[in-house]
Order: sequence, then C-alpha cells, then structure tokens
Amino acid sequence: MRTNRHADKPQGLRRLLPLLFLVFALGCEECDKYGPDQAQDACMSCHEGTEWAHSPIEEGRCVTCHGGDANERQKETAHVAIPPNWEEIRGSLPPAPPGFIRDFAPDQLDAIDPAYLQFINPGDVRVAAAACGECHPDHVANMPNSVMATNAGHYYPTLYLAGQQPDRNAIYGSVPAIDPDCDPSIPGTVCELETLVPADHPEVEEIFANGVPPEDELLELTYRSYLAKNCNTCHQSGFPKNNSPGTYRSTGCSSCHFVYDKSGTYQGGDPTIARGTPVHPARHEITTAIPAEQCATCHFQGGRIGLTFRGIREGGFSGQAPPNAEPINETLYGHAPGYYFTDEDTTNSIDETPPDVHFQKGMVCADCHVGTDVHGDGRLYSSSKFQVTLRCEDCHGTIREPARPDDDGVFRSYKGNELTQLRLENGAVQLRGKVDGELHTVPQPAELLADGGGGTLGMHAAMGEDEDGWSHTDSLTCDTCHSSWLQYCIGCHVSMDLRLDQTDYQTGTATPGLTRGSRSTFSLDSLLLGTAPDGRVQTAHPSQQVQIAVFGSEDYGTEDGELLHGGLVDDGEGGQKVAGKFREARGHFANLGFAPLFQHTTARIGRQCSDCHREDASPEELERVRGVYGFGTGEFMLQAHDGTMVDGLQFLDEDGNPTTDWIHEDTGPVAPEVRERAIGVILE
Amino acid sequence: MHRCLLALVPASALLLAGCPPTACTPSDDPSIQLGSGVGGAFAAYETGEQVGLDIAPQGGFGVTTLILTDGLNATEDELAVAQLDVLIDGVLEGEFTAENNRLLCRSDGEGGQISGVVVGFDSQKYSSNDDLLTLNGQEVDLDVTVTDSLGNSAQVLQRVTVVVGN
Repeated sequence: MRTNRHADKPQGLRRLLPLLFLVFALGCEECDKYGPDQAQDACMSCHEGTEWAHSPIEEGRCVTCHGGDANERQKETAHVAIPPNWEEIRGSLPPAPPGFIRDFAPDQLDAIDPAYLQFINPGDVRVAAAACGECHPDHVANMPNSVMATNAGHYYPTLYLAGQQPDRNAIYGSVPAIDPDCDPSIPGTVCELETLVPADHPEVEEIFANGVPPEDELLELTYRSYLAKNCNTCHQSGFPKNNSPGTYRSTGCSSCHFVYDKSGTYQGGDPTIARGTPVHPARHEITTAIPAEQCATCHFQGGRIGLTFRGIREGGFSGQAPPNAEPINETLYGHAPGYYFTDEDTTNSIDETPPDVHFQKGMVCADCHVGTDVHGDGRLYSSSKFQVTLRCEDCHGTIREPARPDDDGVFRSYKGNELTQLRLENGAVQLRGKVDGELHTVPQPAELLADGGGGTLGMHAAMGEDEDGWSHTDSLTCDTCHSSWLQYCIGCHVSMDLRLDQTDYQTGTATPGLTRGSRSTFSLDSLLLGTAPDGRVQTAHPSQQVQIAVFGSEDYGTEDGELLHGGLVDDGEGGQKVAGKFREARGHFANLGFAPLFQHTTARIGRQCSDCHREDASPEELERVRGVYGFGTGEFMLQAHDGTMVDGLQFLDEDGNPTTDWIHEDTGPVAPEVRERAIGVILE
Repeated sequence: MHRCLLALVPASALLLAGCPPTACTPSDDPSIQLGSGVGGAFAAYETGEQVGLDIAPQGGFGVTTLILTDGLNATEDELAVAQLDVLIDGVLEGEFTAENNRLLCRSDGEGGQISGVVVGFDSQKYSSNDDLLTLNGQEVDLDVTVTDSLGNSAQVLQRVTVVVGN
C-alpha cells in the first residue's frame, strides 16, 4: 500500500508544538491588531511576516486580491473552500496536498471554481479582472489575447508547413480567444482562436474504423496529439508541470510578475508558507523587476532566446557533448544534468557562446520588452513576430539620427509602443535597468559615426554611408551583424506511438499516442541569411524541420508497432532504422521550414565581412558563401524516409528556386538581386 | 488575548522538555529516500513501484524524482551534490552528477529535500522509439548518492518499474 505521509496525515504534533509556541509567543500582543475594523485583515494573524505584495494595495488587505473572509481568524472559515470536485479534476496528476492546483492544464483550470482559483492565484487570466484589473484594466483586458497567453505561434507554423491549414493565419491556440473588434486587414491578426484538443480513444477508433486512414487524416491526428502534448505547457493560461528546476512559475499576470527561484521554493517571511518544497514564488511580491531567468521558464524552448541571451546553449549528452565544454551540471528544464553548456571549449580563452551584451551590462528581457510587446494590445496575433514591435533602432537610433522621444517626451517604438524605460538626460538616451536599478547610457551609432564621435574604422566601413548614401544598415537588420553566435537545431524527429497513451496539457488527461521530438543535430557557427518582414536581410534559422513516424497499435486494428508513416532506411551499421517522412506540402519534397530570428546574442563588435562575402575568387569560397544564402552546405544531411538525403541548411536549389516554405508571412530567402550582389563581392 | 495565553501553557511545557533532533542536521547515520509528489507532498517509492518516464524537450529522458534526506546538512545556504545512476540488471544505463542542488530543510521538519531531480538514461543508448519502448515495464535500480556541503553522504538503491506513457 503506497502512502503519502505528508499529504494525507497530520504532521507530528511533537514537531509542530515548538512552532506553535513561537507563533503564539510572538503573535499574542498582536492578537487584536487584525480583523474587523482593524488596520489589517484577520488573515495577518497567521500570515504576519508575509511580504507586502504591491504597494498601492493597502498592506495587510489580503482579500483585496485573494478573496476569502477578512474577518475570520480560522483557516477553515477564512480561506475559500477547496472545491468539492478538486480531486476529480486533478485526476491522475502526481500526489499533492489537498487543493493543490499549481500543475493544472488549461481545461482543468477552466473547470475549477473561479473563487478558489482567485484565492490561489489572483493573477490567473480567468480571474485577474477582479484583482489586477481593478488598477490595470487595459493590461488585464489585453493579456488573454496576447501571444504569450494564446500560444498561437506554436501551432500554425507546424500546421501550415504540413499543409494542414491553407495559410499562415492562426486557427488554434492553447485557449479559445476572440477579438470582437478584429480587423483582418491588420497584418498577422485573426478574429478568433480555438483549442486544439487531441483525439480521445473513441475518436481514434473511429478514425481507424475502416483501416489505416489516409495520410492527411493520419497526420492531422498526429499533429493534434503532438502539439497538445509537447507545446502546451508554455503559455500563461496554464501551469507547466512545475516539477523541474528552472520551470517553476504561475499563470496569468503572475507568470511574469511573481518571481520564482530556480528551486521553486519560498524564501520570504510568511511563517505559514512551507519552506524547502516547491511550488511557491520566492517572495510574495508583485514586481516589474523580472529577471531573465523568469522569462526562461518558458523561453528555454522555441527559439531558445531565454538561454542564448544568458550565454547558455542547449547541448546534449554523450556523443553530442563537446569534449572540453563547460556543462551546467544541474537538473534544468526537465533534463538530466549536463544538457546545457556555457562554454564550448575550456582549453582556450574564448567564450564561444557569450551572453548578450545587454545581459552582460546587467539588463534583462524586461528592460527592452515592455507594454504591448508583452501584454498585447487586444488583437489576436498569429505570432509574436507581429505583436512584438521593438527594433534596435527604437533605443539606439539609426546611423543618421539618434533615438529621440516624441514631442510629449515619451520614447516610442516604431509601431508606437511606449518605451517608458527610456529617458533623455543631458542629451543622452538613458535606460533605467529594472533589476539592477542602474542608469545605462544607450550608445547612439549616429553620434559615434559623426566627426569626432569615436567610431572605429571598422564601424565606419560596416555601418557608414558609401558615396551613394547607402549603408549596410539600410539593407540589413542590426542583429544580422551583431549576433555573436547562433544556435541552429537541424532536423526534428517526431514520433507518435499509438500503443501508448500520454497526458496532454490541454485537457490534463491521457489520450492515445505517445509523442516525442528530438533534433538530429545542431550548429553554432553556420550563418544563414533571409528576409525579415520589414524587407531587410536578417539571420535566419531552420525551424521545425519535422519528419514524422507513426506507429500503430492492435487496439486500432493494425499490427502492434506497425510503421504507418515513415520508412526504414540503412542505419550505416548493417541494419535498418526508422526514418520519419518529411512534410510533403505545396510541391516541396521536404518542407523544412526556415524563419528569420533575432538570436539575442548581441555583441558590440559585429561580424566579419567575410561571413557574408567572398575572400577570394576560388570555387570553394563561392560555394561557402552561397551556403550563407541558402544553397546548402552539405554539412548537415538529413535522411528522408526513402533514403533520400536532404540538406538541413538548404532552402534554394541550384537555380535559386525555393525548396521549402518559410514560416512567417513576408519572410523568405534574400531577394535575388541583393543575394547576387552580395555574393559577387570579393573582399580585398 | 485570553485564548492566546492558554495556548502558551502546553507549548511551553514541550519546549522545556527539549526539542527533538532535526532531520536537517548531520547525523551519524544519514539516509535518503526517493519519492514523488508536488506542492510539498512526498510519497516514498515502494520497491518495484511504477514510475513514469519523463521525456525532456529535444531529447533525453529519465525519472523525475524527489529526494528526501534525513541526517544531512540541509539549510538555505548550502548546496549538495547528487550522483544519479540508473542500472538494469546491474548494468549502468545512465550516470549523471548533479551539482549545486539546493538541499532545503522542509518546514514540516521531515528532513531535507532536493526537488525535481532527473535520473536520466543514456540518450545514446536509448535514441529510437524502439529503444524507448524497451524501457516500458522494465525494472530499474535508481542508485542515488547525496553528499552535503560538509561532505556527509547517504545513498539509496531504489528499485522501480518504469512506465512509458500513461
């Protein structure tokens, strides 16, 4: 008989009594200080010492946010009661104390009594209007439609590239959402989103009722299952599993504005909050001083910018680990120790993967990304590409004009988002760091490039105007040169095995199909260039290069383990191995997928000219530089289900025709005339 | 106020009788247990108990476990090292060293806890779907040793049965 001794039975009286004594001894003089007609709610008779969450709210007025009864001193009557259906909703989630919901999926949170949800987390997206919304109605009204809440950008690219949806407009999100004032003419917006729920047993039985379904139908089943089970824990409408260092966080407003320690444990002064065990914020404080680590609770995945910004790169175990690398020997983001690295080679004096220069200076994500960038503006964007409006030039200006505030003294992004972190002081643009509190002077290239401005020769050569008034910055985004390193994940093996069930993070229940994904390989020093939505050249990366294998089950009328999608290929060791089938869509044999990406590895010194241009006229050099523009490098070959080899870094054929779609609207390969001009340059 | 004073009487008596030794300070015979749970719950694994195999993003998988210590130095300021090995029929199938673990004293006095540790399998050995499925229903031994900041160690060999999927 398995027992849960901590959750199910009272703690030893012997150990509790000294604590009781302490509480009473310290608290008695204050017994009449809290409660009806007193300065603070009765809650504080037990929670004395807890942090004052938010200064505009009166200190000790717990019920303003949490609800409950401000006049009751007994936990049973003061707290909002645990809903009677809590245990049923919890289902098969791991053992937990009564009332624990901090690992609930969106549908489970939808089902819980809102009063209880507010009691546990007033910042949850479902109840925030009654708490945070009292003072921040715009943010609370907009946030449910923001990409961080809907997760829409993790659904449509995969489905679009697979030919499962006709265009790049998002259809699905982690939560249903609607924009009643939608204007489809606004780029990247949609009017509504629905959830993508995996098929349950009866539905899968129906799909297989007449044998193995057609490929399109089988793939639809696979994508529904894969996306809900693997991409659904990183958004503000649901909790993550909350069981691994680095990933502990809350939901809704509290996802970001309550900071969690890597260990997920409480370190404040409330004597009633358990210490030493997750899941609690580090302190009971709402803050805008959000460390980068908090953002990384989600952004360790996807573009991995929560890692790269801090100089951490995703690695691997055993054969994938560089021999002299500096691993992070900690369990992190669900991985066993040693999966992440901070330095590729400790035998040299170079950090091959340095943190972003902004991070090195003490800045965090929230020093740049503020306002509508993070809260949204109420529109339903298909992707963060459309919601995030910040460009380097918004703070640093262009090579011709320094950044300056509008007439009302407020700095704004190029799309009008207020940049309240900036100020103009004595002619200098300054930024007040949210976490370090320091004033950072923001360098202005226009001033550095001016006569006597101190700009280096290299800077003048790379950024200055030529005799025609043209500058590289007219045609390239800043990060194209100033990204110091790139992490490319190349090839993505996705499998679904119908012999097994797996919990999905939409419903919180087990549905057919064990899904998983793993990359083939990675690169840190390959450079690819594409076109950004603003028409300029930007670094690009392979994205979701999915090849899928599906295995059947006798439960659904196939052989157990029968390969329903994919093929068997030579494993190079005299045997065979399973290779998934690439997405065959829109005329492409392997619709690999590429996207421009700001890698968040900014360095003060830009790239070498030879990264994008030839150093000599040799054929080898021509081939190298053509690889930068998408003609392939031959270095990272992926094996398709029929044995065909596909170049993981190729998106143009020999004639310059696209071999794959790109994820986002208005992005793609570098325009032919720009590409040919750039490849034609031979450096002296 | 009156109610508060009454409560002081038994509490004072117990305090005077002396506090029991805490499980969060070093002892001559430290021990550790592995288990599961969230939100402060700890359910110790029983021998052969079925435990889920967690699949990590982008590769690698293992058993995510809680480590409960008794008699090791568990404080807010100290870090511990955990050696995390997994064996099948005595053969090592994965070995990882986790440094910088926060070994924190549970406020309920039950001991120290390291949360969310992944005892991983060698991803090179278990790279394919078939490899993964060989682990389903497999009895494995989780061999975990925790060394506290003072150099005290405790080890446990816990047999569990791995379940892949639900």
